[in-house]
Amino acid sequence: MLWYLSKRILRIPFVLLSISFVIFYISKNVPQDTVLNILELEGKAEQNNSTDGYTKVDYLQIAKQNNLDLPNFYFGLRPSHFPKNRAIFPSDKKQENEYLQQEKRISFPVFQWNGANNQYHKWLANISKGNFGISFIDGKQVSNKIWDAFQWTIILVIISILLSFILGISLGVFSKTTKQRRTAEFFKMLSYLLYAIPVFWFATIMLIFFTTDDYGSWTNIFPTISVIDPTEQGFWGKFASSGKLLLLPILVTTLHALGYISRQMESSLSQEIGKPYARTALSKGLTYRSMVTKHGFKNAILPIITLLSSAIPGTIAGSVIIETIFNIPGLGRLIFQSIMVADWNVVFGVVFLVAIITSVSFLISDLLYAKSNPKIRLDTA
Amino acid sequence: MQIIKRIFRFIRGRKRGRIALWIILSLFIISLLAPFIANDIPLVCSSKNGIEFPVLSKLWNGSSQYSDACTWTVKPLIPYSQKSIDIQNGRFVSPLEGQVVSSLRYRHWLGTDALGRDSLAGLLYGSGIALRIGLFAALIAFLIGIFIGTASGYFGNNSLKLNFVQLIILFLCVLLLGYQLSFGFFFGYEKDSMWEVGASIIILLSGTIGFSKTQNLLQQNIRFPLDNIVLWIFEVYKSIPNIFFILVLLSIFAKPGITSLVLTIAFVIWPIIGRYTRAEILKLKEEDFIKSAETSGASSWNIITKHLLLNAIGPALVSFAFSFSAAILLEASLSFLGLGLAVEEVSWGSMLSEVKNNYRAWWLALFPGLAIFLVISALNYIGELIGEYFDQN
Amino acid sequence: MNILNFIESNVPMQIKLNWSIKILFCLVMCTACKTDTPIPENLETLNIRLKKDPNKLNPVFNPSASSREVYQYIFVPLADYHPETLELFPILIEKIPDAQVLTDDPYEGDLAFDITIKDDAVWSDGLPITAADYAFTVKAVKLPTTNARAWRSLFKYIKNVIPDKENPKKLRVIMDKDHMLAKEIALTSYILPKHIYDKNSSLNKFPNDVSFENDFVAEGDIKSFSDTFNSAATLREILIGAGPYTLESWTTNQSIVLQKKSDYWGNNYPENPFLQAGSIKMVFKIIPDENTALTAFKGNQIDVLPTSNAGLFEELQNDENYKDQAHFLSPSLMRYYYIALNNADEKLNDKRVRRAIAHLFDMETIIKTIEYGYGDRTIGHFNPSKSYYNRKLQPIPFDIYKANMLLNEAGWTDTDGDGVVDKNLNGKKVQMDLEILITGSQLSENISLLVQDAAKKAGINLTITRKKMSLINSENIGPKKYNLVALVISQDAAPDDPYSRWHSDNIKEGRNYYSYSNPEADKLMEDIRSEKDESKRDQLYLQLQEIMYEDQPVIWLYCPRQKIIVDADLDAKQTSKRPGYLANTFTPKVAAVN
Repeated sequence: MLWYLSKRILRIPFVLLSISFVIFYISKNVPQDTVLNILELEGKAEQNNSTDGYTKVDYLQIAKQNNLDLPNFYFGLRPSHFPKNRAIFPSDKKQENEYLQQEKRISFPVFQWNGANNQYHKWLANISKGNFGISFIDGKQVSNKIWDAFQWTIILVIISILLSFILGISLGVFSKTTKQRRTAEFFKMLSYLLYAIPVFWFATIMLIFFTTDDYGSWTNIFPTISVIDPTEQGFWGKFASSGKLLLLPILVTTLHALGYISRQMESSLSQEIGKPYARTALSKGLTYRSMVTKHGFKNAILPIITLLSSAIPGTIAGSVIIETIFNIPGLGRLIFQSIMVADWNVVFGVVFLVAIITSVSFLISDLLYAKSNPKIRLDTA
Repeated sequence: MQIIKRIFRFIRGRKRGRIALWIILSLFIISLLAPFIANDIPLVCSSKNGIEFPVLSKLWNGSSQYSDACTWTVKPLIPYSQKSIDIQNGRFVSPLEGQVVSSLRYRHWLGTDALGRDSLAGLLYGSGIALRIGLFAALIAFLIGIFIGTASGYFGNNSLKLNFVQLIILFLCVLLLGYQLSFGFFFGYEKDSMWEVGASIIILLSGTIGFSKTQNLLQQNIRFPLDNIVLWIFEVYKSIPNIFFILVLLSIFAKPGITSLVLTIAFVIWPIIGRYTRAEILKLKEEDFIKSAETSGASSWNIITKHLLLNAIGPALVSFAFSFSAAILLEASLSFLGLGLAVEEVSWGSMLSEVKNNYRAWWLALFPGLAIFLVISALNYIGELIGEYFDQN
Repeated sequence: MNILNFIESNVPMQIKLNWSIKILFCLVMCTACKTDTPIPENLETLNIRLKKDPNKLNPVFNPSASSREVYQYIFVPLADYHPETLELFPILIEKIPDAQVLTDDPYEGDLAFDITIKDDAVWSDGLPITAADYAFTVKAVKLPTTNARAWRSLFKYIKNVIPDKENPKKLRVIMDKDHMLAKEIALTSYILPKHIYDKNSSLNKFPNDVSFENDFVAEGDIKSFSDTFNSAATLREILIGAGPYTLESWTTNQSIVLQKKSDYWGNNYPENPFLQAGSIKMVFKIIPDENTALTAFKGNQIDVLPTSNAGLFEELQNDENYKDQAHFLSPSLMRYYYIALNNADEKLNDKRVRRAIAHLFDMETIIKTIEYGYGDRTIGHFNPSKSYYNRKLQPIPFDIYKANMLLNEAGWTDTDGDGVVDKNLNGKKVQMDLEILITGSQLSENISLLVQDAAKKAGINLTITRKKMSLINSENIGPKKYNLVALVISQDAAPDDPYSRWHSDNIKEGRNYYSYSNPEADKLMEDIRSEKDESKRDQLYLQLQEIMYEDQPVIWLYCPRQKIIVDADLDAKQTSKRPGYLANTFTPKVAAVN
């Protein structure tokens, strides 16, 4: 058991390393010019050498500041007729590119070793010190930015998941054990409804109809949301006003997940009830209800636990839409905005955080699964 | 195949199953017939050049030219296509209020959007987009997921044996392919000619085919840890939020459109199917009938196709149905955010996003949302019924 | 693990259901009490909506529109354009000086301005504003290692700053004779307090007329000065200005709170709109989504709502429940939307083709339907509010037939019957396939869809491509590889200098991205620069507009009006100065009790 556990834990840094490589690779292949982005955010980013806009010196200065003049990776494979160091300034780069492409030679790749003096290495070195760098947009520390956003999202996620799981599981069991078929059918349809309604639609409808007096004052049941009242002092004041902000989003997320969880619970229970041991229990004299709640439940709950571990990262990612609609400064909105402006430091920070959370939660769920089902314990890596 | 027939019969046996099947069927039919039901060019035009069929010729070769002077025409039921701009009725005209139209035939029965595009036509054409994107994305994801999931589940870490030569060939091919694809990455240049990529792919393919046919030249066999690699891929996928892949992939494609969306969604969905399939295969592998087939000497290929897949088809179909609905939902969400489709295209998601500009346009929120909801629930229900069918057997 | 035990225990389902309902109930009760804040009475707090977080509030670096909306109450320049008269109005200085032309070396021909700073003008910490601060600001901006790039290109025309030997509040600024806007640059610049931003007086070693080389390398204390000056603290925290407010708190992406200065010297000048402080606190709430902002306004959580959504603006005015709660300002700011055309492109180099494209824009309908009437047509580069706007030129009408005729005249006809005109260029048949690049905002999408429709009828095949602005700049506008791009230009009340954007000298390396070249127009632009007599210059402007109207190097669309919803209890005036309102001048409508 311990061996299994340590093998799993050792995977985590390996996976994180691969994620870092994937993101780095993607960030270098997406058609963006980071230096231009920085220049544009700082002043004019018009491409000329004259009166206004940036000069070549400006460009190279910023490139050097951000290590963008170094090669990308530890090694490189280049055709033998390409020069060793490439130009950085866009117009120089284009010229060089065109010139080289014109020579239609087939040359074999030559291995070029860059050593530790490359962007990837320096970036990793910073990360290992805990320095995620600064965001290109506002110059703030990435860790601060992410921490602020994280607080919002984690509250939203944890409360929604807790509520939806507790309610969903109860609902699933309820519809299996109750004698009132019509109520069970009703809840079944309700679950379908909640799961199938697109979240952004649901959220927008709630926002339009239920927060203002437009359609009659009786619909004005949810608090108007905008931002936290900055004049509120003290813990309870802040808690109350952020609670207001989060009420509707939590409601929407919970209801959506609820539908899914209760359906899953019900189908999982159906599977268990079909198994031989359930029939044995019934023939032993247990009531249907207690068979389900005592025995069937324990086995049916396991796939749901697996769901729990995938629900956390899923909800974090899926919160993009909710956070945009309800104006919550959380992780989803942060990663969306950062990718749009190619602020890779922030993007990686968020992905890193989510990756750690995901790995840990999957680890826990796999352990639980392996603990309960010895058949798959040995093989699942 | 008989299984599919049996599944259909099962679904039709349930009342709600019938409704769900009807919904999906109507989705197909509407998406095929949309250009004939709602279009701004006539179906039949009789002029001095003879009888022409403008709608058909537009579908056939994209040209919407037809002689202007038609002596008599047969127009489609709804005289607008989803892109027809009727600026007189711009600014979000409601279906309930008076409209500036020449006759009742030209009335916008479900309202318009900011530019006066007909909402009903948008619904009809949007079904085609939802269907195409959902179906193809789910299909591609399904095929890739099944292939990789089965391979990984069956071969595990220990079964796939390659000899030394095959391993070297594989390694070189991967390196070459990687070099071609990552040329820009390693050296910061963009390569114009892709023929080298093509050559590498061909070499890789022949290498792969080679390894299944080569005789064992050297006796030393090295176990190829397929399962570990696949699991590593799955973990990386799980940890990175979907939105990241989606945004990045969409920015890579030069022209936004259905193709880019299909590929992006398929890219994001296949690990889910793969993981699910792998779990199922793992369970099935331990079953007795597989073990007996193995001991009786059937080749891996036989076992996989004849026994494993047949039994795993159930859960696979369930996941297909669910990924179909997930793909439709994903497309709607992306169109809602303004990503993926070209500016002229109208889909259910893009109609929903117009509500953001004008809350009063409830018809733009209600009808497309309802359509998405119906299709998704129908697909989900069908998926569940398939699951039930296989649970019972 | 606790949860697992909880679930696996034998607690019956009913009780679990009860507990979860109770938890839910408690949470809901704690937070959901519907307490909307009441309408502010004595203007304790003015709540203003900001569309996005400005990220930086220091005016010397990157003055973006949203940062200006906030920093204009913290920092004030020496002088600025009065919001109503649009003339230069002194703020920190006693009066607007006249330019004096110097006659002796080394500044022969250059302009000198003698500036006297007001005696009682002090910074937030009470220290007086002096000429040393001006000199410091100029040096800090000119220093190549600071990030004040936006100003550097203008400040290079400041040749010297000579403080008066006796009075620290007097100084003489010497401007390069070549520049048309010498007075504006000298007077409307923001200055920063030297004792805050250069505590170690590192820049003292440079003389006031220093000019740095492009490859200047900072070392030692200059390097540490640059690093501190460029740091986030300067941009976001240490904001010491001469305006009526100070920064009290800034919660990123949530809100920015400004607090009125007590004992503010500006109170001695009640007729100066820049120095007023109508409310004690100003809270800027950052709400990117238009609908959320509207909901917040309806819930009395914000009092001032600038919105870009014309539909929302119009709807609220017709809404029975709310229309009395607000009044609606729609000032015309000096900016215009236009479609940039690549005049060097083989398809667009004929001015008849460009004119044909201009006929494809149904501006009346666009303004009526998409902007709900909140826009004014314009025929050229100069704003209709300027005295030299050429009123005789009529806006180009929407006429698809005429567009087609012009295309035919220019040699483009549909020879192959596919609905798209073509022409034989250099032996090859070229179709009129054009691509328009837009940033993807709702407005640009709607306009481009309308044009696409009209273009199809005229025989032009127009494809619409959404692209990020930074990519458009680097991949299309920079290397001049584009057909049409939808852009916007912001201007101000100063006299316009069309040289930098429209003169053929600036095609290769300047801002003439359109490759527009007309020798007559070039000459007029050069003359405008050197002409000092205003009425003669106006004549030159008029002639230039006629020529450019004929040429249509770009297609001028319209000047949008800013749309601002203000709470009805506030006495608010609109202004043509960006952002369209001066929040510090808002007072409660009912006379305040003294």
